[in-house]
Amino acid sequence: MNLKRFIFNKRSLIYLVVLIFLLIIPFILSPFNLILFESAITFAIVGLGFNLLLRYTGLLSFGHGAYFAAGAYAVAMVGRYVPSIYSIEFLIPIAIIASLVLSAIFGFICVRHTKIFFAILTLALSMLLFALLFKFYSVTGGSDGLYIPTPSIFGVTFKRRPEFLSGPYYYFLLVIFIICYMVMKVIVSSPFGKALQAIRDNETRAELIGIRVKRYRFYAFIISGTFAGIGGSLWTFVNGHVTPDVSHWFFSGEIVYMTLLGGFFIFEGPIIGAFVFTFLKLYAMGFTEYWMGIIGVTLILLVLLLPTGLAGGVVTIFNKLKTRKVLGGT
Amino acid sequence: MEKTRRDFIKIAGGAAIGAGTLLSGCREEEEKVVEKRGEIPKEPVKIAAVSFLTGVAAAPFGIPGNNTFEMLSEKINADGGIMGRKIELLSKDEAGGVDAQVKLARKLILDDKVDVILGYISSADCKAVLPLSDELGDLIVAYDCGTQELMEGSHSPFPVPKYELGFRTAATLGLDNIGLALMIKKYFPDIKRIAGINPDYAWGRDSWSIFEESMKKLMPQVEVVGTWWPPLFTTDYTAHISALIGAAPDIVHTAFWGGDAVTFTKQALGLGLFDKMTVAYSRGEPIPQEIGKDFPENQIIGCAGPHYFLYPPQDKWPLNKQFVDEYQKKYGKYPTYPCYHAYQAIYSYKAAVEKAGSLTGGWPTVDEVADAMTGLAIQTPSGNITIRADHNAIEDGLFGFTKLTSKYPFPILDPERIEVFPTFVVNPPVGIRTVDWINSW
Repeated sequence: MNLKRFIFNKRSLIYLVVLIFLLIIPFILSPFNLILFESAITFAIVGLGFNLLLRYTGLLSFGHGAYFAAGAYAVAMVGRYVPSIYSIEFLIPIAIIASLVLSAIFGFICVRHTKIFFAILTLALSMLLFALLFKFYSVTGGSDGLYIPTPSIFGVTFKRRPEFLSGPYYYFLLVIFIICYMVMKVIVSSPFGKALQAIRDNETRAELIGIRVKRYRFYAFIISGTFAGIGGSLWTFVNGHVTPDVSHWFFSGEIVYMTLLGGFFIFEGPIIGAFVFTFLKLYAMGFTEYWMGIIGVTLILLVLLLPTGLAGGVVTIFNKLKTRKVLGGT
Repeated sequence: MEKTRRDFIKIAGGAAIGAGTLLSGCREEEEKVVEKRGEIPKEPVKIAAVSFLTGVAAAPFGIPGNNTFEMLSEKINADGGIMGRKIELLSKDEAGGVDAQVKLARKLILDDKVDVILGYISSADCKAVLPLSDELGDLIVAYDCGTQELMEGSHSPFPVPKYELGFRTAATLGLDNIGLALMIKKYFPDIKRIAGINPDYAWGRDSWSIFEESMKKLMPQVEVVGTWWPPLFTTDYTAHISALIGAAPDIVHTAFWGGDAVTFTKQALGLGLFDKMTVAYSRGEPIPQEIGKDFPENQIIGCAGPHYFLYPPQDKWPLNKQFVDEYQKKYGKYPTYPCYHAYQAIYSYKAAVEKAGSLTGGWPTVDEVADAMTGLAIQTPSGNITIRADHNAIEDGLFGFTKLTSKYPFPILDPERIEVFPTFVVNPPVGIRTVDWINSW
């Protein structure tokens, strides 16, 4: 009975198709495109976290690069100063703790405000981190950044990075991504998630029915920042190098951009945005020196024509077709 | 409903891990390519040349370097190529920062499948990109960047080479800054105060630290009155220049290069800095030609090795005359040190391929080329270079003072006060960190 319902459920069918597709990706893509795809997965994790603030709590953060950087630099620092524990099973928890602590500190300050004030505060604090990473040359490598060696996974070491990235790391990344996806899905549909949405819709009313507004926002901020940190730490292994640029507001802007591109009204929107953005950026860069222009024009078109993003656009079209079908039937 | 979906995800997650392990095992089979000995492929050899083609570092550095790569690959192609294969040169831009360069190098190796990358002016880019050589299994030759940290380990003696497939066909900044200290000791034995103004990244930081260490050893009585660290590609140095004038050093050390050196010098001229102190440019050789007659006289200039269009004297070393004439005919300027560095990179690669090819009888693999390149010595327009076991080349160091003559529209190195420091005086032994070597004097 359960199995029957499970198979004939349209939603789980989509999940299954996507999963099979994700599993065979390393056989379809060239090594270079696979690396791009992997970095898109890490951005998708960041996007999931980012959207908890934007879509479900109604807060626009312009400083998510800071928590991304916390995760990334945690990995880099361990690689530089404690190479004896440079193994992925230690690195990820360390990165989680680093980004959690940083987002707790920054969040404590930021969640007292909303709207533009919140956005400016997050931006300012992330630029503070940028300045620290940039200026402490002897510790952080300054603008040169730090090199990220290939880590070992559960004791298995790899000599060349493509060997590591082509197989084992991709599936490792996929598993983490699926876990993050499910955790976020649970969070947004839990009573906590509903409370956040209540706060977003009407702060005063939420407060009056007994929701502790600031505390809930604070929790959401920490969860969101930690997701960015996980994404950041996973991204470093793909990129092989980390510079203070990831804590610059330009980079935070890219996170905002990919979320808007995918469509933040839909849970999966930021994920789609991360993939499209990663490939769009690279091909725009290869196409012209003025690739920023292409990104800018896309953003303008997006705001004017597809305010709900790519995912939102698809859903709208799908709904229209559905209505037409129903109308045709009557 | 909820329950089933979770169950499904659980099952799917397990399946994903299982399938992943299985599939990643299969991949390895594909990557084994059987090498046929004794054959030389017909298609051209792909060489990527990465230099600054846009931005402030392009005109005085990147474009001369890239011009040389183009000129020399045309020349090599006209003479029959490398072991009969023509060169297909892919000129790429070094602008965009470290992160962009890591991505570009990865694309060049994995997507464009180049045989070798010859590139990088910025030390930051070198430090980020060279590790990719071993990771991705392709040859990367740093042609111009200077930081000594690139090939050094964390403590002396360090194991060499640091990268199996990473090389640098020019000397490190150790040469530039030790040489400057030797110049100051010889020509300014009585000075008391020095200062430094350097770009805030690997190149500037390392240049200053080597210079400071050398000065401490050679002239312990000299006091450092200040150091300034403007970011790379700063456009307004007036505040720094005022502070420098206020600190009143006898000599200012700077490792500025490219557009930064030009901007700084022009602004310093305007504010009268050169009336009050002498500036020691660690790699200043291209700057007088860039600025022209206005460039002040009697400033100390380093040539990033022995690279100068008037040295070795053209009547004594025909290769230099030939190179200068060809370059000047084609581009209307005298070649500067990035041009000489580009020559060293492309001809070292050619020589290494031919040496390895003559041993194996076919087109050599990257590992064979790397083996041949270790210990390679070739003639260049500046004399000769040797690539040592640490995969880094060593050279003599040429230094001098600027002087206006009637013959050239810019100051040249005063022939009366030219100093050439031999290789072993300005390059540390293999496996010894430059700083440790200086401290052992």
